[in-house]
Amino acid sequence: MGSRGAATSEKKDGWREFAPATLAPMSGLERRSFLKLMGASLALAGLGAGGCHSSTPEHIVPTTRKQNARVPGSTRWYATSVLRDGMALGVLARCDDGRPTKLEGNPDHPASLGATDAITQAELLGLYDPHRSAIVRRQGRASSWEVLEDFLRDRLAALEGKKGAGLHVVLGPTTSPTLKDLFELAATRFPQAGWHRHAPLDDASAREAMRRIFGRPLSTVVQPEMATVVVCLDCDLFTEGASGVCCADRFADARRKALSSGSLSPWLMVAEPSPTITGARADDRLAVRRTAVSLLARELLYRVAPGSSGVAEVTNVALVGEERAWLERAAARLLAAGSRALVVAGRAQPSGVHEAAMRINAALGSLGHTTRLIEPPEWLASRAVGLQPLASAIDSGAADTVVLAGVNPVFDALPELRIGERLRKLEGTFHFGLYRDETAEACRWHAPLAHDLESWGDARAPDGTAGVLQPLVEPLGNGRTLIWLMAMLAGLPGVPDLDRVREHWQRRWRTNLESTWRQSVGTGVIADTAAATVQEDPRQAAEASAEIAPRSGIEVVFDPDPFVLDGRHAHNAWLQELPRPLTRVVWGNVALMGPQLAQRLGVETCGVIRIEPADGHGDGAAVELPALVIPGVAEETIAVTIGHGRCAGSPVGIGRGVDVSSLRRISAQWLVGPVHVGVTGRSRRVVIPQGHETMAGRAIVREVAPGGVLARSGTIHLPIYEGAHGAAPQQWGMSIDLASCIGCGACVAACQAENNIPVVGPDQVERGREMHWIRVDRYFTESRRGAADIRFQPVPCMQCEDAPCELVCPTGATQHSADGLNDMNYARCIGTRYCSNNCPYKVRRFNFYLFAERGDEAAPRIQQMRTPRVTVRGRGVMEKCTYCVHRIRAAEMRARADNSMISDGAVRTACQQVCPTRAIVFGDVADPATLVSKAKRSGRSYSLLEELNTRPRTTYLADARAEPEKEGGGV
Amino acid sequence: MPNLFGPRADVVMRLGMALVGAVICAGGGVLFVYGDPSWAIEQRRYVSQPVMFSHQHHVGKLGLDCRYCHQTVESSDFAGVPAPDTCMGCHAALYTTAPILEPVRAAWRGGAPVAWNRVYRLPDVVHFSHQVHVSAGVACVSCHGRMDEQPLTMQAAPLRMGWCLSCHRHPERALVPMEERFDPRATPGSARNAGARVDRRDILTSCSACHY
Repeated sequence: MGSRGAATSEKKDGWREFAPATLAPMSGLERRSFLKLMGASLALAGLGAGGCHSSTPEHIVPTTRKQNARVPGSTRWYATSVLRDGMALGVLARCDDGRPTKLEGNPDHPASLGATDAITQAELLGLYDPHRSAIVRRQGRASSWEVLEDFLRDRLAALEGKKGAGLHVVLGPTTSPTLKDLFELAATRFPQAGWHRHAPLDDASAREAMRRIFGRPLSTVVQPEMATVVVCLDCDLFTEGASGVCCADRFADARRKALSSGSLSPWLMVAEPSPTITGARADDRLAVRRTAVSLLARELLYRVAPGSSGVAEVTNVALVGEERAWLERAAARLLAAGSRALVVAGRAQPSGVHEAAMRINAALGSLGHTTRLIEPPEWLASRAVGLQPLASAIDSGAADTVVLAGVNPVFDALPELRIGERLRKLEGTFHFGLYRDETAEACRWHAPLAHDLESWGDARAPDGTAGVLQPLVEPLGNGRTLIWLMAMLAGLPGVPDLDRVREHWQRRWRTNLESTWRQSVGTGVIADTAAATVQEDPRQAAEASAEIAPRSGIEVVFDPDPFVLDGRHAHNAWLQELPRPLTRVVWGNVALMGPQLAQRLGVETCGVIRIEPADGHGDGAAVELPALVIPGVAEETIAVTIGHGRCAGSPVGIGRGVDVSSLRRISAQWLVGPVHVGVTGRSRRVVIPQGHETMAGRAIVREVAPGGVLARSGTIHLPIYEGAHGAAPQQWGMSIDLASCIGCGACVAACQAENNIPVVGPDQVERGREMHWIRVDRYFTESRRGAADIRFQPVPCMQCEDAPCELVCPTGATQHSADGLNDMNYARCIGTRYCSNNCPYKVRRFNFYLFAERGDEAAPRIQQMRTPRVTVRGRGVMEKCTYCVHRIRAAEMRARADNSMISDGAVRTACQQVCPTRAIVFGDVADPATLVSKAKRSGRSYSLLEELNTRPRTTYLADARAEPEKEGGGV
Repeated sequence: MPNLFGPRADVVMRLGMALVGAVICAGGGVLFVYGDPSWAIEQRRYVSQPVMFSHQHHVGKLGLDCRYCHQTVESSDFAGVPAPDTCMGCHAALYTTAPILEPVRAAWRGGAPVAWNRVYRLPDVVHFSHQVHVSAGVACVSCHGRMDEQPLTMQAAPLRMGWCLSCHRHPERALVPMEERFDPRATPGSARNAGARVDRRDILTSCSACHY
């Protein structure tokens, strides 16, 4: 508190910046008393304003029964999982007074390893979303579960006579063993029924490739930590599927270990049409047309294993200069790595590429090392067909009852299937979903499905490990689960889902039923259920077709949106407002293209282009969307993301971005070309919170050669404040390792969830009023090969020791704490925004409006989700990263109560805890033994804008890249 | 006869009125700031309750321990208000028909819980934990006063930030030996505690000790 008052004392050397008089504190009347006097006169003017205090008495209402296990105000943790395409990602849910308020990764779960991604963080908002469906509807009018149950039961009973002919069930991918049991019963009851699996982000080409190589669709578990070279063929290893988090974790861990001995291993090589976070992390990235990846894969296979390629001679004429050079480097590295090589292919690539990748792995002997084969954890894929047979069945009149559960094919199936049109023709259509979405509107019946976090269930991780899902709250939206539905289809009597899941597993265990069950629910993981590695030798390759994709014209490549995916999360405002890692775009999608193509087309960022398939078929298939020009996109390629332009479900997602699915074809889901591209001359806004693309020559993201150290600057630290900061024994600090960060944005989402950060919408983001306390800056830098390199840098509050913001606050609302935090006191803030103006890092955020949902009708539901120990800020108040001070204080209080010390790692900030690559380290910088102190002693450690002499507590570890550019080499 | 009012009478009167007004305002302000008048901050006002529970009787005469009812005071931010089970532990046998206890019996039978009126009301901008204060050796009596003398409960402390800070700056004033924390007659700040060890003393006056 005394730092301002102490500023009058002169330094010993006589140096001082200001005359003493200007620094004298207000004499006589202290500033605090002055403010109170002002407050008092206001209170008097308000005639008894003080009396208003008592007009609304508050009540304390105890429970009516004593609950010994429950301590009011306490926090409990429950293990469960959230599902991504049926696969489990284990989480630990923090519940405050019975309300789930935060999801953290489950360290015991193989898909999480303690971290999560941004989408998992946002599942919390999905749980509380007030726009979720909560009413059973029949032809749009409110009905009830009882009516639906009776109706469906009668209908199923009638179908039983026909052995289920006419019944069609559409499900999403699922790994649930309990559901499989019920499915078997239902399939026995209805042998003639059609079972369909709808997965917009399917890995069908990988399954097809595995079937060709091994005779059955085995799954793979990739282990990048075992590799010395990883080659990604159009594969976003760090986000694709449910294994992205653990892949990123293991990759980063291996890299950190290698870096400590001065090498970059695993060496990451990526060939992709549009930049991804995996590509941005790559040591050797090639921007290549999606069609040309097949050529790369085949040639790579030919180089590595000439005998097994199935292609006598590869027509490598089709590769052009840069591609050829990349291929040579990749082949050389793969051969050198031998069994420690890993080649992976992405879902957008045809099965031939997957086959080539797997055959390279097999030929190099890396099967069983860097990639393991397992029986597929997903059982539905082998038991169900796709949507095409459903379309034919509806057309032929063979289908009369269609049950769709947890899927939205009217929006996300390819428009060629015209699913919506066909469903509308039928009488008996039942949709079960989280939202009253496009499919719900096409069906006669709609009923709410329960969210993963409010259901009992089970699911497998990508490596086959099963885990139990337990509900954290009673279903908020009156929803029921897939298990309930499948039991209904199987004709079983109504039993709680819990009993079904428990009985399923207890039938398997035979002994210690209760204790094993309790342990499984407690840890979220069922022991010894990981799939065993399958030893299988690849079959001889069949003669591969030597067709060569045409390399002409502009091609459009489709990818799922990084956060909204295929549109399933379009109603999640956190994800809509989370800047996409590469483009930084929020609330919409763009046509991504490189500068050369943009120049040739004569279009700039925000200019609307019109894309039409050149083949002419598909009338009205043209799509218009704004362009975004960034480097790193392959030549003659326009990259667009699907999942936007929703037209039903929730006001959050409806009409955001453009639905591009009319361009997609069943034969070419992820690629269409050649296309006609017209420039409309109009422009449409593209909302991007980050205004800069380059570092403008400044050393913002610094990098070193592996094993190298940064040159020390000659900055002299002269404190602005007098008197020592940091009188407390523990001093908090943070170090962010830019060599580990992959720019995924999970930290931003976690911070938003933890710190009750509101969403502001596209209009406000456009005005620069986004509220994220931590942002991930993306920069393009000139690469040695002429292409652009991409760098990410998470920027939270730097918690400067000599903080410029503190000096200019007229009310003293931002002050330094004794343990080195730059405190923000909302109650004192009067919103001058001086602090933000004076912040060189631009990390302060201002509530221009009452952004927190305190006023609208959604408020009660959303308030349940709030972290109770973090103040919800009102209008006119400045806010910023606090290093999760509530977690620090809670740890201090725990330590006080236990009479212990806070050990290193006991306090973790939300961004640190979520980080899949463990790039963020936080702790006590006064203790030289802590991880953060060790990180700060590294030769790679540096302060952002060090020359400003703010002495940030948040420092960075310089990125480690091969052959570094000149220091701070911005474009 | 000279004029009763001189030429400056108006000015004098206006100045006088302004002066009186200023004195009233200033006096009010000074009272508000330095006096912490109890009427403005609801200090020492007895709050009526749906059940006229007397701490004086239960604590002072019967000698019940604070933690018999406020069970989570050592383990949570909230001290806790008892469920009717706790009351009925005795009142199932004592005063079983007393009309004053009817709300408790109704709650016990499964009716609406008793909605007690809050006496100590901290602003929402403050984070307060009973657990940490009690485990640090702060006595109940340091903030709540002599509960054994209060028939109904009143707010014994001003609950203003200056009052919080007076202890956070000099914590030993509120401390008692650990075994006396729950003694309603404990005397915090007596000479025995002059040398009390206070951990993390520096952090106690940082804004983020309470405001975050």
